[in-house]
Amino acid sequence: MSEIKPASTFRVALIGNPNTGKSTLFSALAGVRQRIGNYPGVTVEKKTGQLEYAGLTLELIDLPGTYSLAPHSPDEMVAVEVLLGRLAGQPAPDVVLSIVDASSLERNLYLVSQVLSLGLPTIVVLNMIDVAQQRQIDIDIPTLAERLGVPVIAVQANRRIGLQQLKEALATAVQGKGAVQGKGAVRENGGQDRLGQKKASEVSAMVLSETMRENPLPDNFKKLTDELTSALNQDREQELPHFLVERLLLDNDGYLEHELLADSPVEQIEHLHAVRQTLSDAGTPVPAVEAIARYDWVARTLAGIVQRPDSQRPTTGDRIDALLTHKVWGTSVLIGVMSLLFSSVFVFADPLMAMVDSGIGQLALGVEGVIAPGPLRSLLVDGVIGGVGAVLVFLPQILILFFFIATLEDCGYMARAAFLMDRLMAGVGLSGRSFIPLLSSFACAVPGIMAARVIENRRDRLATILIAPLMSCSARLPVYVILIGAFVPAHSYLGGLVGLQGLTLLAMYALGIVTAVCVAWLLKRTLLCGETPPFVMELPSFKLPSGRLVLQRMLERGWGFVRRAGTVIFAVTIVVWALAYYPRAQQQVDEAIDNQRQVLVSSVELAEPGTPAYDEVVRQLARFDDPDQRDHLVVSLHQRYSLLGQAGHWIEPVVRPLGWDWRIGCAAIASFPAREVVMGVLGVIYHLGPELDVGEQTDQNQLQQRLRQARWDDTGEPVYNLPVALSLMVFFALCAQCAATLAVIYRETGSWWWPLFTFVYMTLLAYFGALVTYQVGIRLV
Amino acid sequence: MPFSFLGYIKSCHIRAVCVVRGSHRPTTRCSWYTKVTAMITPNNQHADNQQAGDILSLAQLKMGGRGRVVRVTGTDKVSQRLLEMGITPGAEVCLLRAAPLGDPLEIEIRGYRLSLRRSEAEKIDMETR
Repeated sequence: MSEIKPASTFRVALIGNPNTGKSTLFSALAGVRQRIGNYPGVTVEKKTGQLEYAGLTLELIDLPGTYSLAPHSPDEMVAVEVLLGRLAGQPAPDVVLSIVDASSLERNLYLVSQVLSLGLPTIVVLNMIDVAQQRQIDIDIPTLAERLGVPVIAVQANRRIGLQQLKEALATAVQGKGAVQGKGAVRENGGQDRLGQKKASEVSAMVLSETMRENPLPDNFKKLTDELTSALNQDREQELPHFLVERLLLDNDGYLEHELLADSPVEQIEHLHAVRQTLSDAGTPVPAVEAIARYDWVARTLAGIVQRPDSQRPTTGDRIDALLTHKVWGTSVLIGVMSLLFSSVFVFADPLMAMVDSGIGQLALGVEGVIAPGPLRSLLVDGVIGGVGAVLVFLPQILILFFFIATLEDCGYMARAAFLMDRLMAGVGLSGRSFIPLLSSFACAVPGIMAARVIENRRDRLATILIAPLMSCSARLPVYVILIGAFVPAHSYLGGLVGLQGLTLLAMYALGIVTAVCVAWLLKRTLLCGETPPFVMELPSFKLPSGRLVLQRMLERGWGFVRRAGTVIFAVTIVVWALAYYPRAQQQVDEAIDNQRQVLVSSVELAEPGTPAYDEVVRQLARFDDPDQRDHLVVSLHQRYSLLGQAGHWIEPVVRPLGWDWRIGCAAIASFPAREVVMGVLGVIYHLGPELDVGEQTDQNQLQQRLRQARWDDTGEPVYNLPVALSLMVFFALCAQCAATLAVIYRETGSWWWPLFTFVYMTLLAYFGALVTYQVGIRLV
Repeated sequence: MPFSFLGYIKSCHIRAVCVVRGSHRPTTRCSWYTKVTAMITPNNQHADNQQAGDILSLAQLKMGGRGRVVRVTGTDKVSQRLLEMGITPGAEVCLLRAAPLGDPLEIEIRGYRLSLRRSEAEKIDMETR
């Protein structure tokens, strides 16, 4: 933040393990005053909010959930840099709220121990204290606060219990900080209130008491780190904080070394390695020394102040867990839940999408009624309104899918689904986390790619995002249905059980899956190669999902899509509209109509009345007199002479080996905003007018008939036959003709490189797939 | 004692029980294998702990079995992650179950549930009682 902050604005960072209710607490504190942005260069969301309390403005920063402050990637580095105040223009937070799950204190205090070593004023928030009480875990909070040397506040963020005390503690902490900076802390005699929390003034003293924070790491480690810090900071412009030197020493995967010491002299790096060797020789090797020391510290801190029930009686959560991860029952529940998720995206989204469609249609009609025909009307109706529709039509699917995903995530089932599916996904080098994004992509790749955010590892996430568009989404279905219906013979085998048409449809889906598996395998061995990321995943205890949080997540995702991907989709729609509209060669169109009519008139004179050829010519001639049909012809000719139509002609030599004529090439290009457009464009090309609805049976039949009648301009042979239809289907099964998908890939990866890569690799695959299909097809048929 | 016969018998017994229960995957390395490699591989950390006798990896534990972590081998990211999640020497672990396809495993440690792959569990040396 580069703006000058008013004197009473303080920065508060929230950090905690995943599944500790950190986001719930953040929402409870910030209310609706939240902003979601991006940290530069990483895919981590930057979530900030504001809290006004007692005349103070607190800027809350919600850091991504993490188990440790050991950074192994740019995404994990963000939290460390925020806490150390190393991000440009952003000072270190004034207070750190370290949120812990009261029912799993041991593991949660590991992160707390790291946070405390930063030396920042800290407040520990014991969330989900009710869950701990349910499990009869008794925590002596005052003693815990004393031992930690920082205030400990018990809250139930989901029920908004304890927030008042937390706000008070926050206010005291920041005011105390101001006081210390001004004239030193004022100490009063503080008692303890009901919850055993320290009085405000004492809190401020505790927040600042850094002397009480012992560094749990062994003495030889501390001594060596001190030496290393001074060695590394020789002639360094921006001094490395002690914390980062510790991390450099402990995190030996090379990431930090590369980040921080890339320009350092060789002696410094050698020094670092020598220190590691010394530690290893002393029996305190990195990275184990840290975990052992910190968990030792945790054990000492908690000794005698956490009482657990003696009997290891299985709880309800244990029983649910046993059921949901059971070989038979767990698998059945998984299949049930996934069918529900999948079918509701289809079933519930369909009417909503139809509503969006008809709303957009009404709007377009309204505009058409007000504005005279011309470029402006066409821009508004086909460009602007069409573009808005192209964005909004995805919203129902996104909202429904994220309603389910947020619910499953919040109640703790997501981790179980990943647990059950991991083995299967590991076969292609991915992890169980990739399963739901990929499954969702069968409905639509856009929400599927957005769902890939649950995958922690960047390489796995990218691989999942890059293969998600290969899953046959619902937009490909009309293409398959129309072409299969028109050109695949309705043979059936095994007494009608298996039909050739159905098999072809299945083959298209299988083609996508098999290709995706191969691409994932290849990607993980080339572009995204690296050591297998750990699949060490917490299986959080089950709880009832919070409706508020689910709703909020759902709306966040929907809004995020509209704001970031929406603009790109809108822009692409306008560009393609312009390509299909201009240059408006009215004269050429008129001439073409006259020519065609002239040809027909002369053939009427030649043909013999009563023969079928004669009837056909008369029928075609009648088109020029019927205003509707004449309009369709004009639209079709305008498209032919538009930039798009010309492009279709230019690429005809390229698509000819696929068995396509310029019309199909043109439709393929025009379908870049969305695959399903291809059938509409073909409808326009074959004079069916722009209002063709490929969802309707009669329109489908009409289009199928026109496709069968289509002839090559030069030879008069039918354009479409089985190999051509198959080549077109294969192309659409594999191509990336979907601006929304590419826009979402851009949004999720934060770079244009990945959508470009996706487009290129999928288009090449689609082209060669279609080429092979056609060339093999014509030799067989 | 260079080789603990009793310990060997004990680990055999555990393996036998596991095989009988059908919950043990024979594909994972058996404890004698670990021990043999420990003896023939120089600098292996197994070598100095032969006397404990019943050291086996978490992946070899029987379902429902308990044990204490002796060490996490390796210094890579996976090992660091395991350590951070609380799998440190002395921590008590209970192997709850395997996923339907045999991998990954679900364990209980420090009062919470954790899932990890067999390949990761092999990095964790356990001591059973």
